Amino acid sequence: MNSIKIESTTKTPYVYLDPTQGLIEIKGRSIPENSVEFYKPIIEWLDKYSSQPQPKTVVNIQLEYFNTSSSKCILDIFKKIEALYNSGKDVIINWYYEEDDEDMLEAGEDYQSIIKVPFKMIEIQP
Amino acid sequence: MFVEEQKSFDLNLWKNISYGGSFIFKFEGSISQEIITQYLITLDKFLKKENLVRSTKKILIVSIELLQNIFKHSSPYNNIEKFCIIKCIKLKDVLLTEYLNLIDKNHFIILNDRINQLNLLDHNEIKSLYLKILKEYSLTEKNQANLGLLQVYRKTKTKIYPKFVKLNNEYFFYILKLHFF
Repeated sequence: MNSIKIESTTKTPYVYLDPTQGLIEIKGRSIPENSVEFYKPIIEWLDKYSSQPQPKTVVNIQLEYFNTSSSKCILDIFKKIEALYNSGKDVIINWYYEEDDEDMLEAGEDYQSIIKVPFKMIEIQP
Repeated sequence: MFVEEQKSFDLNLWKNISYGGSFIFKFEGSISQEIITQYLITLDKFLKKENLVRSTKKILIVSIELLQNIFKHSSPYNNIEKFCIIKCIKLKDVLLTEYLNLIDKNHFIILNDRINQLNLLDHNEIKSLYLKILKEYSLTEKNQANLGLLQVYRKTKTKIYPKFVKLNNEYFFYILKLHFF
């Protein structure tokens, strides 16, 4: 399967999906009007990846801010990762947030309370 | 909920009121994705210039939810599709945002009930409800999470009291005023 790279826009984040490294990265702002359309290829890629995953999958999320329809799509991604974890694979979700950014810290904590996989909150300097 | 009759509401007067502050952004017309982006960029620049970085994200998060809701739910007014008015005003120690759009009677009833229910909840109950809907419900066919209004409550940590102006038996202006300190 192929890797996917999507460059960021004013409304959508940078996305990098690499099946050989087991790496999933989403960075930037996620406020598309149609979040389902934007996240659909990512979900479909994850479905394929889940049939032949790497022993370890690393998910790096570093969001500036996002709308509530994106929040559902991000949860859908995490549910796919949770299914991998429940099938015995090693996974880690790294949630990056800037120092003093209580909104993205809170958003990470929301997901951490819902998804039962190793979930690391990582504070970074702005 | 405060419902005002049209005869006591002057739209032309309302849209120009700045409450003694200065306009940072003002828009009247058909809302589009381009207008939403332009508004967010203007807000972001202003907040960073004023060194209000800590408040920036909250304001942007709330604004995007309100504007995307307006984009989805606004009815036409005077033949203008997705009609709305956006006002963003700098007051002495406060940033004031006001939004006006036209909604139909069914949407008015749903929105009115929803706001009345949410105004009864405290901050922790709002958070619990937000997490429950995030966790248990899928996006609707219209790509809605049903979390937008909850997000506004959650980020502003205040009750909201919009004004509805009854134009006729079918349509209402929905006017929401929010202060950010």
